[in-house]
Amino acid sequence: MMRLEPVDVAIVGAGFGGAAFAWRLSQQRPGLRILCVERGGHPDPTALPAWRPDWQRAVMQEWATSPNLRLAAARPSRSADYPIDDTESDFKPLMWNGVGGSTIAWAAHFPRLHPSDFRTRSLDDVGDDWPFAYDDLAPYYDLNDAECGVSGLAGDPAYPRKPERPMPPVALGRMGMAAARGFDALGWHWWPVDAAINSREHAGRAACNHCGPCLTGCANGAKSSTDLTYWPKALANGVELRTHCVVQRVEIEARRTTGILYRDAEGRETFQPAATVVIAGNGIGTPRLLLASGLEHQALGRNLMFHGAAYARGIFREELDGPVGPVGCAVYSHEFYETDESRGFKRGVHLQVTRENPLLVQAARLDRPWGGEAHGLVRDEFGHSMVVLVCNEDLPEPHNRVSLTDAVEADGLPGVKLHYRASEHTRRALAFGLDRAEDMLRAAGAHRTVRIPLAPLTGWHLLGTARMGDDPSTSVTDGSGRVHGIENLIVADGSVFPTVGAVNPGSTIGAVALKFADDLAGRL
Amino acid sequence: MREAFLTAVVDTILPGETRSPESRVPLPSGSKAGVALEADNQRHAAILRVIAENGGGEEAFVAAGATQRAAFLADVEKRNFDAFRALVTALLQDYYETPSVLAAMGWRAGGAQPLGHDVPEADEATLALLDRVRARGAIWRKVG
Repeated sequence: MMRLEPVDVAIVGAGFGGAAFAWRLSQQRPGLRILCVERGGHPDPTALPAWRPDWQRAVMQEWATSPNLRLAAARPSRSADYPIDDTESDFKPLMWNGVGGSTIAWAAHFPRLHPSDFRTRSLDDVGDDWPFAYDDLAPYYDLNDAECGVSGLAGDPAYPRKPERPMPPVALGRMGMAAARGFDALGWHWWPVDAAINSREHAGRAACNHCGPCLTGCANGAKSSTDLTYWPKALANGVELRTHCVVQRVEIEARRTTGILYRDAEGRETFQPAATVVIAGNGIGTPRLLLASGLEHQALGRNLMFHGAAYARGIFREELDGPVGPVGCAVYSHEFYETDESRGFKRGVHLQVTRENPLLVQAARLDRPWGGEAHGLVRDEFGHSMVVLVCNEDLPEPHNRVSLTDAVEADGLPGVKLHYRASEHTRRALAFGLDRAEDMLRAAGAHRTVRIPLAPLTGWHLLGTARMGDDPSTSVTDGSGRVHGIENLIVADGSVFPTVGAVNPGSTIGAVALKFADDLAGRL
Repeated sequence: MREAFLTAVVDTILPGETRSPESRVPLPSGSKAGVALEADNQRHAAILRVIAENGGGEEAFVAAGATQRAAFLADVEKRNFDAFRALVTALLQDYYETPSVLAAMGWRAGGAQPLGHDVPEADEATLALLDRVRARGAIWRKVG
């Protein structure tokens, strides 16, 4: 085994958390030797499906959102995946493994948590309070917004004041404008989304030209992903990025980590000593690695949260946009975001108007996708449908968890399995949200609605499995991401969320990683 | 397997439209769109044998009417769901990449880039609706 010269900080994972952390620490402490080790490689923007006539089938094969589907696909994927046993999980885990992490394949919907999301125990007697408040994180939200580039419209009354956005909202399209009329007819809150997508040329990256398949990588670079935002700056600051290296263990001796053991692309095992180790492998990869490293902690791997997700589709006679424009982004409503116990559940729901799937995916997802009737349904729906995604605040439950299996996978690490069941709380909240979504769709002019009460292939948000907290008996990390009892081991991804609000976590993952980097810089 | 049988399977899964709405071009059948199953198809050989058996043999399946063939396939789907859906998905992937099919659906063939698409930005009337939202004031929950 090779043993390398020590570094000051070794980061595991080049996704959102790892990239933001690397850049910020390198900016705050220029003299540090900072290394990031990533299991996958760089995306190749010239080889993305959007350039090819067969781009639609890529969505179902090598660019499927699920790593399990990609591993089973006939065509090889550039994502460095490992299998995940999701047979006992209501939601299927989705991710991208490579430089940029899941920001390569995300929709770049970029909401923040609300102030109340940080205080659910104090306010509503559910979940747990975060170790810090919205106001503590706000400067990092602002910094993260500035680095990622946000299109949007300031002044949303569903949030405390946010900075002016440097670009106007992404195009609403006919679909977004119809949704706006629907929300307005009911007297409900709505607002154009914050999107980490350029609606204008910005920061050296092109404007979105509405090609459609955001989830197969952004071909023109309009979508913010950390390979385009944080990484170039971090590398310019002197951070070293080693790709195709799979970390096998975090070495821990006498309540301190001494470094990481990784296997490179040629299969060579290398020990990289480090004064501080930062793990940012997402809510599955992080507990997998820490459990495989022998870290014993009551809460490690537990309290897995995804966000409950369901959706309603409205079919309209008028022509809408079809599968074009930023896929996850148009308008949203937080009319029902905050707790109202008369609804029969605590906390709230987020209603997000999203766009159609590509034609092939629309056709393949019909209950019966073959025969003459299928043609009729595709004719009826294609270019004439709108989706309202309903997300609710999933609450932490210890039995929802990530565990190791007895298998040893091809990457050298133990197999990993999810145990997750949507709670009665989530089902009630989603049912309420779906009722409201259908109300809006009808108000907007839908002549038919279709209700999907639980949407399994929505598990992008991998959260809570190394939760922050002040009490080491119920949390894994403190408010600076340090693992309790091992102060030079930090977690800097969505694993640390004690609760998750009801909105997409990307913006908060970035902000939290920036804060943790500042916290570490302040200690060095 | 005989070509006529394979074509009949394709066209039962992907029949052509006999009429289409609003004078649009009718969707072609799978075979007319150029979708084909190879005689030595390994991936779907097992389910194709089940289809033939269920239809009373390849020739009987071909000779049956469209309604009868669809009933045969529905029965196969019920008993062999995953394998049958894998066959359907493979055919759909070929079908919905075919320029004639995309054109019949009013869609553009080829890559999503570099052309992209035009999507209208919010018009003045839509943006004016936000005045009502603003007029309500803050709706986020204050935290003490």
